[in-house]
Amino acid sequence: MNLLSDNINLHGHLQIIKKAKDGTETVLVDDKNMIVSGMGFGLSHAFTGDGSDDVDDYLIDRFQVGVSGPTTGIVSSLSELYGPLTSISEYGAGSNNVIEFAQQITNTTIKILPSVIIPRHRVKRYDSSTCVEYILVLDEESCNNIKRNGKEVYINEIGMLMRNPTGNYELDSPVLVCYKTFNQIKKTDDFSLIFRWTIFNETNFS
Amino acid sequence: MRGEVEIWNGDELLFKEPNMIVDGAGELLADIMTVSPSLSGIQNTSTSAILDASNYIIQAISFGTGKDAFNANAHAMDATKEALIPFFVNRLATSGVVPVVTFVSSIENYTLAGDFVIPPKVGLPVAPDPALTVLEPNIAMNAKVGGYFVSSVFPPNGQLTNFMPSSIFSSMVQNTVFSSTTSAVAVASLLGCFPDGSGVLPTGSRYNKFYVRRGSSSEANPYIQAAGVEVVGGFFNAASSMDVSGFVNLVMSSVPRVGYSMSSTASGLCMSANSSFSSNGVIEYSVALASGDVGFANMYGGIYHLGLWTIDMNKSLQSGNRPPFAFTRVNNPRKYKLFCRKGLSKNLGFIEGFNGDLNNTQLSIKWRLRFL
Repeated sequence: MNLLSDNINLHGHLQIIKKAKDGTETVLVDDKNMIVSGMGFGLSHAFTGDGSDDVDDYLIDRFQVGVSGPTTGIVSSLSELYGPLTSISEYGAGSNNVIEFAQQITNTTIKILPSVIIPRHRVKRYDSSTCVEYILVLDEESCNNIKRNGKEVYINEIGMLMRNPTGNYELDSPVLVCYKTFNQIKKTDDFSLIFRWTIFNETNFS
Repeated sequence: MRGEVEIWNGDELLFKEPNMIVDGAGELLADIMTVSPSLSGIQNTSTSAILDASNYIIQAISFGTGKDAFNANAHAMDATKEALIPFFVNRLATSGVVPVVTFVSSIENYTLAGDFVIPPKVGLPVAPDPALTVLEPNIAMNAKVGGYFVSSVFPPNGQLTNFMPSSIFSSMVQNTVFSSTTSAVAVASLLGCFPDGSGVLPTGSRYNKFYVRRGSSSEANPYIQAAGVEVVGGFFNAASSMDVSGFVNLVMSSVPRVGYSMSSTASGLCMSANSSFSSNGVIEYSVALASGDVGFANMYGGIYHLGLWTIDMNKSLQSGNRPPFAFTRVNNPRKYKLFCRKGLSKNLGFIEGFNGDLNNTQLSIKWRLRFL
């Protein structure tokens, strides 16, 4: 019997805040996320030395949003969003976000998909704590009026990705490391969405 | 993330239990998540080398014991033992090896002639705690040499250290109050804890471990030499893989790369993974302890703790070192952070039966971390 658990528990928490143009803030979601197998994939590449030689390739430096997140049945082997946005126009051509296409590693194949780069000043860690907070922003111009098959769809899933753990030289090969679905949000240019995502690298007590 | 430790004696599995990942592991992962990629743009090799991924992986293993052991066994010093220092110097001169002396209590009923078993005095090792940053905290070593506390010059670091090779202790005592040969040998013998490699040991008499029984008040001699035990060489100093602080360096990594074969675990800490590591997330760290390493550690309190360590980038930089940090045995620029530990309820050097230290056998430690 182990009185103290013997592992480290990587877990995360996501808060989604709707910020109107007048500055009013409303918390839409405040819930834990799912760390998916891509986190172990990335870290095992780092610790074997078989992945990238640059530690910045193991940064969680980008995120994706999607429109097809299920309400149930999400498993930790998930390697891609169910319905990721696929173009700069879907992310919002007038947005201030930097969009980058990369060869995302998934369970089945490598896919070229866009992601929003997380500015480093929006990644915070307090002193030597084991928690890292990411502030992701979809501004007023982002993700509005997304249509699939002529029909308007709403964002309801988000994931963060590790930059390039395998050290692919030609084009970054990011991997999904954490994921969250939420109720559909009809994004308009009346408000921005702020995602406060905290990853806890804590020793697990039981 | 979780891990497990296996200890093997040849083909016999002696022990298999989960390890404890400590807070330092979480700090390391947070370090990885928050490094500044802008450092790569600085045209300075040392600065950009901070981003080398090898600075953020497991790089060493170490061994420890309970804190009471550091004031007993071969760590202890008193007037009786101080009287033996000329004998230490003589043994170093004749054999080239620092002798180890531990006392046998006259109360205990050991057979003092021939072969015997000496369990070290250890007390109760620290309880498992994920907040630990060293293997055994709050060690206070009371031994004095020449009137000076040894720990005032060489503070204990929570684990078994490696002062015994002459190339190490002669460098360490320079410009200290222990710089004389007499003091240096005594300090090296007190701090221990691992023998030279067999290639350094003399070809003649290797009887350099001494169990000594104190004379009773009715006896004329303050001590009676009980037995000299033949020294068996160790792997760590034969391969120069252990620094003075007791950290065994990661000497190679065997990942599934063509033409990159696994090296001997006698050379230091080895890392390996099978070809499906990216789907099973298993990485194995393995190291071999020679019978001499186990036997010597037993003279200094045995082995009750094991720890895997990563490089502590902040401490390494604050110590005035510049990456890349090349491992050295003395003045190692690498400062380490505890990543995971394993406490043992039974001394790793425990010997069942007789024949004393000669009965110690080579052990293999296999430590697997699972990232998935």
